[in-house]
Amino acid sequence: MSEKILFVDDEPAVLEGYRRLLHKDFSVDTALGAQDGLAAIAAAQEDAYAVIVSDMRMPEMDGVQFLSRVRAISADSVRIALTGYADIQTASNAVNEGSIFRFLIKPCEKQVLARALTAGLVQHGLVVAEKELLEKTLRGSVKVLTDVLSLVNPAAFSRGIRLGKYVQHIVKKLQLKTPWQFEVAGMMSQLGCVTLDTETIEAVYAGKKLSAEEQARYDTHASVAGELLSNIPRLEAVARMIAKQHSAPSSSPAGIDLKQDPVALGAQILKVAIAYDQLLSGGCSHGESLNRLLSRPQEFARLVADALGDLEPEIQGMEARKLNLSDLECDMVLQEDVRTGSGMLLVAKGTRVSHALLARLRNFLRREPISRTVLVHVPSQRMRAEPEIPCSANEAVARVSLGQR
Amino acid sequence: MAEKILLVDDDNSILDGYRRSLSREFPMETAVGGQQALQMVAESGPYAVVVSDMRMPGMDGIQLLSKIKALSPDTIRVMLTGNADTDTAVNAINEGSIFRFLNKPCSKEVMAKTLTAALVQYRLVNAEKQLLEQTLSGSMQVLTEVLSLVNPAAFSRAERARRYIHHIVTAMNLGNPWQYEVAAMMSQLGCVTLAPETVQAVFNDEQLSPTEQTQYDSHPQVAYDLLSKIPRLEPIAWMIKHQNQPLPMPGPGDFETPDMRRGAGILRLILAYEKLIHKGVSRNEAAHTLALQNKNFSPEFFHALVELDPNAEEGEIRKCRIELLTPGMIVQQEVRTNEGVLLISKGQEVTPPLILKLKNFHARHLITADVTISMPTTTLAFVKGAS
Repeated sequence: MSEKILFVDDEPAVLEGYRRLLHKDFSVDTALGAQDGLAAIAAAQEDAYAVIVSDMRMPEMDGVQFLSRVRAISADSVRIALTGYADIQTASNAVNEGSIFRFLIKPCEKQVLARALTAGLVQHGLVVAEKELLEKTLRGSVKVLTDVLSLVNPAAFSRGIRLGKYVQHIVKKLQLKTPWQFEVAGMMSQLGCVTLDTETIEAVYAGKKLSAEEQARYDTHASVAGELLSNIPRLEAVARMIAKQHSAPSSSPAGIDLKQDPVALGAQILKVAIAYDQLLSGGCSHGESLNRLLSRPQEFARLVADALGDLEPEIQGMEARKLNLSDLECDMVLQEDVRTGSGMLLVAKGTRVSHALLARLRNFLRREPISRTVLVHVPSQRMRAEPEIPCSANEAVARVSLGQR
Repeated sequence: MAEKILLVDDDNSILDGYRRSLSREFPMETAVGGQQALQMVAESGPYAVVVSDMRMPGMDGIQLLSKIKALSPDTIRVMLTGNADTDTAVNAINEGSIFRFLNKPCSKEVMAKTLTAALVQYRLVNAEKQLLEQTLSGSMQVLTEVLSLVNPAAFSRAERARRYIHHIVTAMNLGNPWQYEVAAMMSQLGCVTLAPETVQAVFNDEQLSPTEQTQYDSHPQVAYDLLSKIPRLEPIAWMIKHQNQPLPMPGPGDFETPDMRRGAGILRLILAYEKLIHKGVSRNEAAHTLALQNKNFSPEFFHALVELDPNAEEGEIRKCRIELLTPGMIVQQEVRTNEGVLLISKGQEVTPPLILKLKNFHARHLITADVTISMPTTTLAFVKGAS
């Protein structure tokens, strides 16, 4: 974790003073003025500054402006202002508006400064730890479990994996805050299907028209999943998005920007992703599906559907081939369903092959040789050599396993 | 668990005003004066945020908030003050004793913004504990419940093992109990690679062919591969990997900590215990058999194991109509469809999705209207990892 601190001031002598005073206890960088400061932050990239301390009075861009720019480009950095007595009110307002963490009055004793920097580092540690827990630990665990679910029952749960992928794309495109919430909602959105009987699930999977009674039963799955998750702290919003996945309106009722209401937006994203997935599995092309979504703005928000526009089909740059089941390899994408002799769906069309899936297939084939060829898309060498793009759920499983070999 | 806010002022009408304008957005309680506030913190705390007026007769805002800091250090403290004494404000903020100072009169918008920021700060301070113990554990529990419904033969073991472990780690008073429970919940994930016949044979305790045995023996490694790359789950992945084997002797430079070794041992013994119970061995006998076989393992563990109430699981065994099932009951029979597909295995805990699943299958005339259940008399089956 980064512990770097950046001081920004327009006087070289002041910066030198800070450096001398603090370099024994802290890792200190300095920047002369706001422009240099922004450049230093940009150059730090991934290794972002933990704490950024700025003087309030600087020519060109003052401290408040500078620190709110910092907030936009390096959101996790903790911001501290150094201010003369005359600017206290401004700085105090900036604290209440959340753009700065603390402000210190010049001249500032070493002890006071050191204490504020330590508090800033602790605050930064909290921000980073929380982010890691949500974006990596929680999201990663949910991904593994939903992947396992989709292996065990692809008819019911492979949709969740695909939805997770579409949602990830939309969220990135719309640059939404707390992306993990939306992605976790996508992955968990179909959990309620566990209460449905196999026949209904198969009928939905095959895109058959359901009887009114079946449809009513099927529609409850959203509220079932919402209910299951509703008592988990921090997943309240996720639970509400999932519960409204079928009923979300395409615009916020009060006429506010959909982006201001995370739950309404999340539910609408799910609704669009589900409709898109249904169209694709019904045989529509990507472009066709998109056009259909865009032609129904009362149901599907243009903002969200547009974000799907440049979603590259997973098989982009892959070659179609017919292979024997036993010759499948990781990262290939199946283009048709694989069923056992008794008709049980083993792998759903569109699944990317992972190590866990290979192991499962191998164990099945050993018991019941299913000798047949399947249509798959095979990644070309070029695709494999490329640096990894944010990946599909199954690919993550594959990668996790690969890492062990 | 809602994060509560406490507003303190000596003027009831001001409190009413805030309550009227903000209680729809925030779970809010009010106290008239410092004494009442302290009493509420002691009796119904902790509060996520306390907002106090500065000037109150008897105990002023500064005194109140410093007492609250001592009582409940994680509570975020906000001060409302009429005369903006800037120096006091600056010092209090910089010493970290007060999160924000607000000037009176304070508009609804500023108050709402501040309360939101204070809640964010509260969550940040408590993030680690809450995220691991509640959010992560809770999500894993829902997912394993779903998994155990999808494939009861392979995954209902995990749910039962979690219930036992919850009891054991509570009785042993171990730190970070969530990690042992999550390990139990995820311990059977590797079974996803096995053919149903293999899973079924293990479930029925039948002899496996050598090939099947090899496949089965690799399932902890599969789970390890799936989990070990997730940050913070490395220790859990390690426990899961060693669930079926006695541990190697500790050596210098080992990655594992004593905690992880203990966790792996507990997991191995609990899974063995679950297996014995599933075979029909009584709890008492199962505990004693394992104690004899593992004389070197922590005596506290076996103490806790023996204390698992022998009657807890049994309760009164009776038939129950599907629509009358309630969460917390234990299913005491295998529920299969007309075609013989296993829907629920014996010993599974009744959960809301389980009830719905049975209702749906019954509506399609795939199963009968009754299920044999027991209602445990002790708390064992009721405890949820998250609570």
